[in-house]
Amino acid sequence: MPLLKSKEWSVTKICHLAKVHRQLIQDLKRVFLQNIKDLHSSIGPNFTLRQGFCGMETSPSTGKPKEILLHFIHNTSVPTTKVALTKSALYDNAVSQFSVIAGLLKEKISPDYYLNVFTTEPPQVQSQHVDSVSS
Amino acid sequence: MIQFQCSSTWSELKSPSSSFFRWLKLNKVYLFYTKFKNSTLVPCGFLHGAHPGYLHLDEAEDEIRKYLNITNELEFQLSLRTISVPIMEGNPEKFAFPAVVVKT
Repeated sequence: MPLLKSKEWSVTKICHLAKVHRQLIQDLKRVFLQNIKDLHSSIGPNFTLRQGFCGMETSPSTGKPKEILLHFIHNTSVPTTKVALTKSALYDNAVSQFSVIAGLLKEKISPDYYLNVFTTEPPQVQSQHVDSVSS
Repeated sequence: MIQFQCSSTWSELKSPSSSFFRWLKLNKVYLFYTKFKNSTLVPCGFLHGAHPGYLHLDEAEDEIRKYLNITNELEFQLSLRTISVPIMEGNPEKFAFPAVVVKT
């Protein structure tokens, strides 16, 4: 998003999108995942672990149309800890799906790529907050 | 204004417990970090939807370069800060928000 006005980007338009941005950011909730390797790791030809997470959808049991579950997922300063961000309305759904994350990953990922994903400990949701800002 | 390079990390330099930082503060010397040689940095945009509390700046810079096919000739860096934009043309009132800012 530009910060400088132009013919295409008026002051009003920039300000409106800035407000949308802030609203979106303020609504996000986080879920920490432990014992997972780098999100850039490959889990298929030209397909990364992050792409896999970002393609997750809400579970059909909610009775609502499916939607993308995560806003984004980031590596943290702890190499095997990830932080997933989700809209507050989808938080319970995310926690529910992540509570069985180990099985979910094993089901979705080919065993050929397990070494790229799993550490010696099983993946799990972490309840404690960790410092995630790297720079 | 002066520019210097050093092998210490930014967090080491800015650590409140370091004698160097205490000296800087005492003498009202302020630092800002640039990844490339430049006397000024201009914020030209921000990453819409990117959470400033969780984005890894170094990773994000690499990914932006990779996916937008940006060569090293175009120098930019990301930083976390609160920015403000005018609410309306000609109106001094501004809207402030935290963001991941693209500076060049």
